[in-house]
Amino acid sequence: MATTKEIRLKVNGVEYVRSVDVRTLLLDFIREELHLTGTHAGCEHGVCGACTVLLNGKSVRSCLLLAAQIDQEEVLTVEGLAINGQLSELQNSFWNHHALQCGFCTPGFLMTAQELINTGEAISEEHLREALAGNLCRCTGYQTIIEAVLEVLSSQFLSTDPESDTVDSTGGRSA
Amino acid sequence: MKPPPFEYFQPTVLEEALQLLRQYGDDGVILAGGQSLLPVLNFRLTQPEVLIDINRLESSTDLEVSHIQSSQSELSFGPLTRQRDLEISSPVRKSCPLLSEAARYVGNPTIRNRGTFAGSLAHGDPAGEFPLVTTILGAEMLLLSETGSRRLNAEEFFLGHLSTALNGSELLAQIYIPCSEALTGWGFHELDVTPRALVAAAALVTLDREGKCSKARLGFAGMGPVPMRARKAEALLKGQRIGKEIILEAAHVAAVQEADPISDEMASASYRTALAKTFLVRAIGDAMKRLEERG
Amino acid sequence: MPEFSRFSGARIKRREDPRLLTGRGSFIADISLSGMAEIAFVRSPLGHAKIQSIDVREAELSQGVLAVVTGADLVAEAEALEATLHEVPGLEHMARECKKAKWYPLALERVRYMGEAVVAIVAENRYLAEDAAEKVMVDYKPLPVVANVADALGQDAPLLHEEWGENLILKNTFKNGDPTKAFEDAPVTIKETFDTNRCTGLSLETRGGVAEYDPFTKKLKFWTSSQIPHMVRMILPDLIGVPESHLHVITPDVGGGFGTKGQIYPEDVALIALAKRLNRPVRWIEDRFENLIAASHAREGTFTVEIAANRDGEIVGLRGELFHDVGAYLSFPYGVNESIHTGMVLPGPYRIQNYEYTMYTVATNKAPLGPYRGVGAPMATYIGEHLVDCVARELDLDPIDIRLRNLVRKEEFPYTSVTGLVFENGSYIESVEKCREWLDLDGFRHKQKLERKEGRYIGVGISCYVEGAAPGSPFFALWNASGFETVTVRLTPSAKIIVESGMACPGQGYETTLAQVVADELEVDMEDVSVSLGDTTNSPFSWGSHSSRFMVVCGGACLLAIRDVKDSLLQVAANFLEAEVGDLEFRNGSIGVVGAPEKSVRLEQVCRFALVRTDLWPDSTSPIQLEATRTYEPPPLSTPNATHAVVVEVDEETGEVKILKYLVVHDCGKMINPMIVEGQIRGGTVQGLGNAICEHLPYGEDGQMKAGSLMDYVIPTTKTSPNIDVVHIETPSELALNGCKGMGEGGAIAGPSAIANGVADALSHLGVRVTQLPITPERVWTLIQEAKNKGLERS
Repeated sequence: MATTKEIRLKVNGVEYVRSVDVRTLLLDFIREELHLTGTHAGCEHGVCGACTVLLNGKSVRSCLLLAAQIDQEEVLTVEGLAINGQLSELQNSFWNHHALQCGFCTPGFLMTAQELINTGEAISEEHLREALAGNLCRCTGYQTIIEAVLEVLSSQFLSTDPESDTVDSTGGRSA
Repeated sequence: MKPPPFEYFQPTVLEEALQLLRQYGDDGVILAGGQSLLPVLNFRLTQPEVLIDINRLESSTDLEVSHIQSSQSELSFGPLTRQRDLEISSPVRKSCPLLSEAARYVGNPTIRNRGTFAGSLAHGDPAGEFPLVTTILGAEMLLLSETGSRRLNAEEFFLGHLSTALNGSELLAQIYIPCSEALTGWGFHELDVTPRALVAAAALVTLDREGKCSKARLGFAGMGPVPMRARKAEALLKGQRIGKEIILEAAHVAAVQEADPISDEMASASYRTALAKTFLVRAIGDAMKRLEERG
Repeated sequence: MPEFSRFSGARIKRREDPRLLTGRGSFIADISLSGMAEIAFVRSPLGHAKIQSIDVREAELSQGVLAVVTGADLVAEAEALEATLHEVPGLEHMARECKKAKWYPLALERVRYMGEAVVAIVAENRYLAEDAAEKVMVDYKPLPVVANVADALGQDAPLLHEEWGENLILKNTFKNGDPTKAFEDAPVTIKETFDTNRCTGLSLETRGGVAEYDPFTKKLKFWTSSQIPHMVRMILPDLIGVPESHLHVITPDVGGGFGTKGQIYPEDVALIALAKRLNRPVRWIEDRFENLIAASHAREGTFTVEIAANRDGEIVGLRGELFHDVGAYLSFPYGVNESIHTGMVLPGPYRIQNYEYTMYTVATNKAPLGPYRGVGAPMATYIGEHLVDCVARELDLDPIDIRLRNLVRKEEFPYTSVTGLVFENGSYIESVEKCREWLDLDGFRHKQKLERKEGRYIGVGISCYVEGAAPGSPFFALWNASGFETVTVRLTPSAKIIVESGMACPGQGYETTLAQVVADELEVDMEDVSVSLGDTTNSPFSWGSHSSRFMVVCGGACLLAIRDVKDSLLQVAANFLEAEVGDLEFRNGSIGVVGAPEKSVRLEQVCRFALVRTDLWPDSTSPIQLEATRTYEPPPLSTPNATHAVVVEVDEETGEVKILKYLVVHDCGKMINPMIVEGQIRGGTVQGLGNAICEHLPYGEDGQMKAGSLMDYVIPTTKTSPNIDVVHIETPSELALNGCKGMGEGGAIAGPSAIANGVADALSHLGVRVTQLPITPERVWTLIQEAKNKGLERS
């Protein structure tokens, strides 16, 4: 009966083996099965971006993926950004810029922004606004989010040590 | 909003996928990018019995599933070519910049990481960017089933609102797009203020050595049940030197005479027409500008 | 205010952020209890219908189902919500005349809006609950739909509530001055009818709750994503028969409130009733479709308003008929709040003393209206400010100049508005002048003329408002509520400060700002202050987060409490140091004798002395508590103000409106954390932008709500929002204890009108007036076509 599937996957560097109902959304798997509740359900139809995670380094909507599809893959969620209790540069930038208020959309923004940062490319404000247009926020009006991400992007681009922001295969930072 | 129950298959070889498609026919749906399918499932607007997940299909000598292949004359795309990969592909940008540009308007980068070009076409949204540009570009689609294959051009492929020539047992396996000819300029414009696509216009203008239009391909998304080729307008431009007045005339013919849009919740027919006309003027204008820049 | 101000007024990073940034926030959907089951509601697909029968047999047999209940099943277990008004001196008629209706936890016999909950399914998880929900068969007999205000008030209109005899919930007339004469005499009068769109708060986190009932202790624990936990606890006993002493209400992190979560919903009551029934924890997490069709709506109305002016631009009168389309029931508890507030604030910050209006609060077959950021002020400001601009154009005056002519001036404060609102002080003129400067108005007008010749249409939109914030108790009496706040502050033996407030915080950084204030009072580090919010077992009663009231009222109560504790500390320290209380001061975590740096004692020592080693006290000393609970009643009204200035560009061919630049000059009195203030301003303004341009919840004639997803209910994104410059003016309140005036709603109040005015200004050569929201591209395009067709184009 093809309604359950066994999956083996890595989330934030930890390997999990589970049997899932094939219709379980990746979002619900992460939240209810793995108890990683930082990834949020905002709309369940792919528009708001609150459920964004990195799948093999690429941002995806976990509400539009089935857990069954993620066998053998690597996922990074917001819980995987801070390493050894140290906030990442991006998280610190959000903190400094007051880029969050209620915090519900924040994990989604962090993951989408992290993907951009991982490309190592310089991005203009206009392009950044386009790139983040799939993440909705109702509290901040976005300006401080843009400022926070731009600061990390520009500091990275100006960084003299190209090795300092190495990323691993999941898209996370290496310590 | 959780999906209803279904059975799930994840074929790894093409034969298996085609066999499942034949076996389940209309009770089964293909899961490729999932960016159109999952919302519909989560809303329970559709309740298929079977999901055939093709994301693990491996390429074979018969089928390249994701890598964009380019030759002198055409580009080809597989069932798993992601919209994002198409968007950033250098061969596509070089040989078919209209396609690259249109890709930028599809959803957002995260959606495009997962969404597939083929899936977008199979979805058949007449307001969508990809159905429009594939129609303008003269794309051909290869439909595979267990019993055989058929090759259709875009206009044979798009049949109606969210309706394509694909029957329940077929997979859209390849899309072939001819490379842009020399001396061809392109333009693309759409209303980009809401998540739902409304109206878009695309233009490809090829000039002869004297600088007159030898070929024009003009079209609209969102102006009918399928992407619309504005053939009368194209004929108007053919053989002419393209200037401001003739552009306006062509856009008028295309939007007002040839198109027949509906009025609905999203917009009235007259507004759609106004947008179509404006965007086509701008698209042809951009095409000419690009030609001029190339000297 | 304390003289020492290390933190107050500073841009302190929020202490809430680390947990939110690392995904360790605790929102309602993050709460997981052992044995917890999940609810899905079956909701009415129709706008108005009789429920003939409900067949739940197949649903009951569905996998994983624990219970399937209908409205009839719950009648014995839970009461209906019924919002009422309270008799207030001078306004007794409102309480007597205001209609009321029972809004059952699950619909009983009849549904009155699409999305009304009819059946509740409890199952092991949401997937299974939704499977079962699909198997419920409800036999509806459609009834005629009351689709809008005109239908509702028409002859022989179908009735939503038979016992009312009509669909009019409340009518109220107001008159002050002599508007009849003012209009007769005025050389210029302009009348327009405005249609405002139905919007919703659309917080990223939908509604939800978790309820757990212990049948042995008979105690109920209720986690709710709410702005008003204590009010919820106060109201629940009447609804579900559990006394307050046995009710524990907790608000976890709340993912945005905006007023939508400042009420109790029937679903909350159904959830609790089910938890009691099942003796298992039950959770309800609303999905986005439900949120759009059933979480409270706001702002819809049709307003015919007329303005009268003299030739020199002096506005001499206003009058109007205000029709509010509030849906099928009155939200609980603040039902008619938006209707009442709109008429009250329509005259704005202007010197208008002749005003009359009639307000009609009308029921229709739509989701009930609830409070949403601004609560009537956004519509009032949109209408008033647009009419002011219309007068300006009629008289060939600049919109800025006409405002300078009519705004209340500094010399006139305190100014009592024509509707009895007292404006304590403010910076109305100053804020407009700053906008003029920022715009380089003369330069802009010149540029505007030139651009117009090239077929490019740029315009400037100005919007001024004064906000009625943090109202005192008399204002809330109409709803049998009050405006005070109570805060407990206590010190621990190691001199840590614990602040307890019953406030819930949907994202405005209350934990941080209270800590700033308290740390300054005692001259300690912020890390020494711990703030606890939103839990009814360890906080005094709170009226909750709304009306921009937090810092004025809760901040005020906190100040009173901490100052009581300071007095106690000084007494103990005086004993310790053998000095007079009057000779002591707080400094650097110690208390010392003024002018004697060596004579001081650390706060920890004082606290231990007072709390732990009372045996060491002299016999004559009474026991001292380092704890205080104080209540603060704010001034009757706080009145922050702001002016918004926006430069827009209108694409004549597509109707698209692009925002080129945006300025907010804002005065909320004393600011505790300017960074948080700016966040509120920008966030509110972008909500106002959405209200202006793209948000709409349209209902068809058939009662169907058509925006059932975020593809249809469109809110601003990073691509469609501008950068917003913010300039602060601080005109402190002399009346509020901490000099603050309250803030938070202003951006949403002025946003729609600034945009509307900008578009009209950009198209002023066409004589365009923006009388309908939202100003979608199609609407702008239509206005342009209509104007051109009428030959209204002038240079």
